[in-house]
Parts: sequence; C-alpha cells; structure tokens
Amino acid sequence: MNDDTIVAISSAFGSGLKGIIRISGAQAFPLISQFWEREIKPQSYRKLEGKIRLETWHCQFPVTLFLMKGPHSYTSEDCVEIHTFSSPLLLKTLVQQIVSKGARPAGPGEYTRRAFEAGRIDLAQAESVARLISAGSEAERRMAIFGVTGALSQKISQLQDNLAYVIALMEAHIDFLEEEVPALDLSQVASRLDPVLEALRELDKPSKEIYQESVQVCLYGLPNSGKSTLFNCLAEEKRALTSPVSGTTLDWLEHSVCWEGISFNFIDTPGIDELPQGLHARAQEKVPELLQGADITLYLVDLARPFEEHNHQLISQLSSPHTLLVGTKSDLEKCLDQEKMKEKSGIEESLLTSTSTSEGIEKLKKWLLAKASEVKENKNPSLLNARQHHCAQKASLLIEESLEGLHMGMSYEFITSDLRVALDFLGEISGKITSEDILGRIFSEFCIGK
Amino acid sequence: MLQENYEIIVVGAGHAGAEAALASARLGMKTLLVTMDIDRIAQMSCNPAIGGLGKGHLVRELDALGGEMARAIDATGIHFKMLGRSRGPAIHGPRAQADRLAYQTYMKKVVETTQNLLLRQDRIEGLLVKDDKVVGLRCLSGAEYHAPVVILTTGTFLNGMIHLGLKNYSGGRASEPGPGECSRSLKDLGFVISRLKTGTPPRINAQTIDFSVCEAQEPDEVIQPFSYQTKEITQKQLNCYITHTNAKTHEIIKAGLDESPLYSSGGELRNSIGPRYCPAIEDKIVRFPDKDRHQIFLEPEGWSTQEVYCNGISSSLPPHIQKAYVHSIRGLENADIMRFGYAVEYDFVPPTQVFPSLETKRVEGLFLAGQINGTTGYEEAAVQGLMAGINGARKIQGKAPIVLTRDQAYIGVLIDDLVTRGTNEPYRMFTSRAEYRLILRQDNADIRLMELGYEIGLISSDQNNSLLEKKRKVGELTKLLEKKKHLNTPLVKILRRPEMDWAGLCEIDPDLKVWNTDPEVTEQVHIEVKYEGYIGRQAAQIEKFKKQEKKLLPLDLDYYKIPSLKRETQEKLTAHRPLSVGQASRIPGVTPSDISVLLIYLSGKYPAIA
Repeated sequence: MNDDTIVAISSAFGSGLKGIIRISGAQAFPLISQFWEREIKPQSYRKLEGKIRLETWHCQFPVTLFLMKGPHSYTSEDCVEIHTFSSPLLLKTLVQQIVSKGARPAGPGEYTRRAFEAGRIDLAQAESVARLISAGSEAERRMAIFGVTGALSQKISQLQDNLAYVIALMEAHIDFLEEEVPALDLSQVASRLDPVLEALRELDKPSKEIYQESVQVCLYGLPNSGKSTLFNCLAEEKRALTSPVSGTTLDWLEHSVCWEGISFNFIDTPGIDELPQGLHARAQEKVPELLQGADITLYLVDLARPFEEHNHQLISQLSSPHTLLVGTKSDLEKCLDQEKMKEKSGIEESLLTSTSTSEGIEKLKKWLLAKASEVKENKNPSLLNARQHHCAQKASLLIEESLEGLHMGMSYEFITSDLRVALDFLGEISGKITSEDILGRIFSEFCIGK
Repeated sequence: MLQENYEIIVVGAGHAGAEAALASARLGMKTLLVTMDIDRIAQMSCNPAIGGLGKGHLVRELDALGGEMARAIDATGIHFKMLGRSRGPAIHGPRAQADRLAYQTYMKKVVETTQNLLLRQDRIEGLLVKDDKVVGLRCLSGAEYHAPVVILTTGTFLNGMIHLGLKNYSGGRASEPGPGECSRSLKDLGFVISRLKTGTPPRINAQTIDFSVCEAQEPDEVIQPFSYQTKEITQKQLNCYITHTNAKTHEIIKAGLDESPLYSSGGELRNSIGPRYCPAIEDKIVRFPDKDRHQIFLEPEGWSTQEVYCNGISSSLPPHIQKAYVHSIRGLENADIMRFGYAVEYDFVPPTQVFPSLETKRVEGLFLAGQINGTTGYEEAAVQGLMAGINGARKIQGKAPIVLTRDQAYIGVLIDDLVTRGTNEPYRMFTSRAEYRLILRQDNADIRLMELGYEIGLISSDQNNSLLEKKRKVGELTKLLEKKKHLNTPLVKILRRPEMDWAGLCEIDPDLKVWNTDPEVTEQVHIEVKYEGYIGRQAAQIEKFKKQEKKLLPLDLDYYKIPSLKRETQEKLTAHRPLSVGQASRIPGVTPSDISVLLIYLSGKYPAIA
C-alpha cells in the first residue's frame, strides 16, 4: 500500500459537468471528517448528502459524498469522492483546503497507477484512463470510457476466444491423432479466422478521424455559393474574407468549434474555377485531399441562381461518408426550390439556409451533432495507443500468414505456432490464454482418450 | 535394531524409482533402493506401452541425459511405431508396446548389476527428519536407514484405495497392499496432501478373441529405436488390433451406472477428479451421448503371456457389468476376462511444494518424483526420477541442481508446469504443452541435451564424442548446401521447396549421395533447412522468454514488503517462492500487473514511477 493520501480534481473542466474531487489513501476518511458536521467512519458504497465547510470562504456548500472503503474501491484504498458544482474556483479551493490538512496533490495518472498496481484494472483499462486524463473533448472522453468500462477488453477477449477455439481444433488433431476426432475442414477454420482478422483490422483503423482530432467538416461548392459566409457563421467569428466577387477565397481556412462537447473542425475550401490559373490553381490542388479527409461534406448550392451543370463535376469528387446539400441565400428570390435542387444534385439530405436571417442555421447545427454521434456509433471501441495498435497489427499479420499456410497445406503444428503468438499479442492488450486453457477446450469439445 | 548408512535412499522401484536409483548410483552415490516387492521393478501396471506424442519425446530426452528407459524398451518392445508420420517432424513421437515381463526382467537385472546400488525388499513406515532436514527412514522390518537425501517415488501406493463397483479395499495396484504410514508421516511434516484417481481396463485372454473381425495394426517396417545407443531392433514384432463399442455396449453401461462408484448416488468417486484424457468408458458414454461408438485398442502384453490389454474401456463398474459389456463388443463375444478393470484413488503431494530441482521446499534433502507429484504415465515418472536422482547426487556433491527450462526440453516443460502451476488431475504430457514444440523435437534430443548429460556424468565420453562429430557434420553439410548452387539457385533454397526432399535433392546433385551414410545428419539438416522460417521465429520467441527467466528472484524476498502487491498475490508468491520473474508470471492468478509491480520493485525505482 502507498502510505500517503492523495487528492485531485478528477472531473474535466467545462460547463454543464459535475465537479468531482477524489481523495484516496489511509487518511481519506479522517480528512473529510474535518470539514463535515460529524465524523465519517470508513464505510463502503455509501452516498452521503450534506454540506461541506469551506474554511477560507467561511461558508458551507451542498455536496454529495461517495464513500468507498478499501479494498473495495477503484484504487483498493479508502476513497472519498466529493461531487459538487463544476466551478473551477470552488474545486481548487476545496483541494487546497484538503491539502492543508495533510493530503498530497496527486500527480497525473497517479490514481490509475494505484488502481493498476492494486490489480483493479487491466493494462488496456489503465491506458484508457491515461487517455481520459488528457482527453480534449467530451466525445473523446466518452471514447476513452469505452476502454475503461472494458468494452475494448471485452471485444479483444471475444477475438481471443475465437482464436483459442481454432487452436484447440487443430491441437486436437495434433496430440490425439490416434483418436477418432472428426476431420477438420479447411473452410471451417478459415471461416473462424476471417472474422477475427476483419475485426482486428477494424479495431486497428486509425481512430484519429473522429476522436483523436475533431469531426472534419468540409464546405464545398461552386465559387460564390456562400461557403465562406456560412463558414464564418458556423465558426462564430469572422475568419474568412467574404465578398460578392467569385473566388475571393484563395486559400483554405480551418476553424474548430466545440458544441455539446464534440469538437468540429470546419474547412472552407477555395472556390473552384472552371479555368484555374496561377496561385489560385495551386490552392485548388489541395482540394481533393481536403475532401478525402472530411467526415462530413456540406455541399453548397446558391438558391438564387439556376443549378449550373458544373456542379455535377464537383459532386462527383465527393468522398466523405456523409454529405448534406445546403441551399444558401434562402432569403433572396429563389431560382431553385429544395426539391429541384435535390433532384438535380442527386444528394438526398438537404437543408435551406440563410446567414442573413439565420434561417436553418440551428437546424444545420443539430444535423451536424446528430451525424457526429452517428459516425461515432458506427465505430466500435477502437484501440487507443501505439502499443495496442502494434499488438493488433502483429496479430493480424500472423493470422494472415496462418491462413496462407493452411491453404498451402502446412501441417497444423506450424499454423498453431503462429496462431499462439497471435494469441499472445492479443493477450498483451487484455489477458492471457494459456496452454492449459486450450487443453481444457479440447477435452470439453472432443471425446478424447483411451 | 538394524541401522545402515547410505548417501541416497530411493523409496519405490517403479519407473521413477528405478531411474532415480540408477542415476544416483551411476554418479557414484552409495544408494539404497527400497521396494515392497523386488520382483516388480519397473512394472507396467497399466498400459504395456512406452512413448507416444510428447511421451516419446520425454523418453528420447531421458536417453540423451543417460537414463535407462529407452534402452529397456528397445530391448523388450514387441510393436514399434512412429506416431504422427503424417505431420511435420515436431509431431513425430516414437511408441512401442512392451513385453511386460521382459521389460521388468531387464530393469531388474540392470538394477541388480549396477555398482553402488543395493536393492532391498522392505516397507517404509515413516521418514526421519531433524531440524527440517531429512536424515533417513524407518521400515516395517524395524530397520532404520540413514541418508542425507531421500527420494520418494511411491506411485499410487500412498494411501491407495481400489474401487471395483461399489466395493473397495486399500492397495496401490490390484493384488498388492498399500503402505500405511508414509502419507501420515508427510502430513505430520506439514505437507498438504490431496487425492487423485485413475483407472484401468479389463484384460482378456488372446485365445478367446476373434481377431479376424478386428482391424489389424501393423508395426513399422523400418524401426527407429528410442535410444541413441541402440543400433537396430531385431526382436520379432506383433500386431495390435482395433475394435469398437456399439449401441448395445452403451446400453449395458448406462443400465449399470447405479453400480458405478463414479455415478451411483452413494458412489465414493463421485467427487474425485480423474484424468480428462483417459476417461472411463462410463464417462465417455455419459459425456458424449451422441457418439455411437468408441475405439478399443487390443494390445498384446508380451510373447510369454496370453493377456491382452483392452485400451479404451477402462472402468470401475462391478465384474458382472464388465463381463456383459465386453461380450457385447465385436470380436470379444466369447472373451475371457483375466483381470477386471478397476479405479484407484491415491494421495499425492500437490507439486507446488517442490522446487524445480524436485527437492521439497519444506524438508531439505527430501525429493519427490513420479505420481506422488501428481503425474500419470511411466515416461513422466521416469524423467522425474532421473532428475531427482541427478539432483540428489549433486546436492551431496555440493553442486547446483540441474533445472531444464521450457525452451530446452519437454522435461523442463513438465517440471515447470508441475512446480509452478500445480495440477488437479493426473498430469500427462502433450506436445501442445510445449510452446517451443517446433524446436523440442524427438529427432534432436541428443543435440539439445547430450552434452549436458556428459557434463552431469551419465553419458560416456565415447558417446559424447560421436555427438560432437554429428554436430560438426550437420554444420558442414548446412554450409555446403548454402554455398553450392544448381542453375544459380543455392541448394538450401531448392530443399525448402514444399515438394522437395533429401532424396530429390540427391537426384539434382548426385555429389550429395556420399552423405547418405549418415542418415541422422541428413535428417537433421533437412529438417532445419526446410522449416527454417518457423524454427527461426520460435528461436526469436525463446530469446524473449529467456530474458524473463534470467531475472532472478531472491529466495528470501519478502513479498509482504512490496507495498502495492495485492495481499492475495503476496501470499501466493510467498508460498510458491518462484526462482525467476518468468516463473512468477506463470503462477496461476498472478496477473501481468503484478509482474509490472514486481519489475518496478526490482528495478529499485519504486515508487517514483508515475
């Protein structure tokens, strides 16, 4: 056990969230008692409503205490959590007050280290928590929680299960070749390995598109379709120079905003001229790359003009998973209505907006938020750090080679030697599966023995 | 009172005891081998066969280290077969049926004629221990034998109980009484004692079997001997036969379950754990009701007997049911049962209580080997006996024990599994237990271990020299194949092609034919070249493994002083006293995070790491 007691704010800063302070160590209960109306005895899983005394402010604040006696706590030590408003000043003051009575401010990741050392969490979980601490936005925080609650470990152990089953099948044919073990069908093995490989590749996809960084939203359309105007409106400040002259934006602009904890990065693309030249042309070379990196594209069409044929060429370049057709300048006299615009462009989802009257802007924000979480849900819990990516990659590589070996007719002991190493790599992400586990599977699956 | 002094006393003359006593005496120790019946040395009380997958590997390794079993089976085998020929070289396992009586006679003669070794018929009543050190033992005859090293190889005789239907009586093998006081003596010394069970099938008279309706299994035409010293197997060979149970057999057994000690409500074996890989026929029928038949191997027990071992129908059902189900089997309709099958329950000492040297952690000088450590099988017993004999002698000579590692030998895997993980069923070797299986092959046991055997002192210098010569030739031929080209392709690359073998390579380059006088050399080179990719990968894993094994843990490390280790882990590590971080990581229930804490602690940086 660590002999000192540590304290820190454990909630993220930001509006609308609860403020949480966590105290862990042998002195947790005596410390908190000093600011409470009566002594709090060490106890488990109690929730205590009441008021905490703020000495420097000479007043009391309503808080909720969560009491966890060791070893039944996150860190295995006595733990107290103070839940209150998320005022940074209040939280800071409370921490200072607890430190003044003998606690030590916790270093980054120190709770996690204690929890990890106490065996409360596995390596994958510990790493997620480390991510959580440095998580930039609410969405990223939620992503990190996937790992903490063990969704990643769960997913990995599913894969391990499949792999162990395949190994057991083959081992039964190796060690018990005199027995009447039913013949092993190659396609049967492949059909169990393929999904594992697929799932690993899915997990191994760089998660940066959504979580590490923000949701990339690209504004695209013909020159003077109102991209920069909408960009300024969404960016909530005037970043882009706008003018009624087409092609005002020569370079692309980016700006990030955070809505409801999800950060969006808006990209204003330079207008596309039919005859690109000079500096303008060079900026436009960058456009396909920007479009490819986008999670969401807003394709802008000027409602005050007829639908130009050149739009089709632009629309054919779009590659992001989500596209919204945005009719702009809806306050002006329309040449196009929503239906016609949809029909001409072939884009299904659409909205009409006006930055002058703010028509549709709130709707657009809501649509973006909804899409952002949809993108999120499509993603399974993904791997969080370089080490885990390395393990997943090694495992997939070995599985691929095993499949190849199988098709080449290699004897099973060679195949399993690779698969077992793959299993070990997965084990480095969560937990190990031993030879004994594999033998157990063989014996429960087959009638073995003379 | 008779009092005698020895350097090493071995208790029990089964497969473990015989090897232990021979190794000890051959290493120059004045050795006493005490057994209850000197006519039953190295008796095969179960299946009359040696070897198989994993087990055959153990025997080859034992031979490379200077044990006796391989030579014994080579001299007395009546049906040799290399198993796993359809697989790669790592899965080849030699196996042989033995002439049971000839095998015993052979071993008895070796034991009787070995210098420094005295064989005595007596029964052990208790161990003599002083200040946590063994000093000898007391026997039923009243004699006291003194020695600083005692090796216990009591097999199934430790508080053995035989079950035949709902009847039971004490004893370690049918027809022999079990020793009474030894188990209590161990308990008094503070050892934890647990119980295991195993079973045997009925044996029948060959004269009464209709072999014409059974499927014959022929032995190999070209026999590879078990021992590196055996040049050729010359004795006459016999066939084995296969038949099957059927629906009627299954019905008879199901109807008889209420008379089974395993299944009847009052059955005494209901809760004890038997080996999963060697289930009783009643177990197979209950657990796999969908299987409409089970294989039975009919194995002759020798040239001088008509007894046939019915491998596959071991049972503890009462005699009338055994008779009924045997008669329901094709070919056995009129078979006479000569011995009934039975189940035996016996005490063992859960092996986490011994060090990898096989010396007990509790009593200095006391070594345990064989079934007392929870294993099953003659081969598993023999290799433990050999290692206990070697390490007992080294203890007296003041030398460090020989501990084989998991990357070195199946013997290393066996002992590490036992002392690190323990076992709750009779432990048997499988190739899948060895993570470096592609390297631990039966064909290279000599290359892996014989030099060590020579260093220990059980391998003659002649034999060691011929090994060194073989290794030199393997190196020479490998280099040759790397250098020599055919149509601009190095011969190693040609040999690596899936369809290519050594004979094919000789066709391409007839100069290679001169090597055919050394088939062991060409075999070695062929395998190493052909599977180089896989073998190389395992070699890389071994390097990783060795790092953890080399991080030694002091025996007196106070785990309770490592602050952030779980209490449960502190207790486990204190009880196990692992020798290395690697061994600690294999103890069940010790997690990767425990190992991180341990590593942090050992690095001396604790607790400054965030």
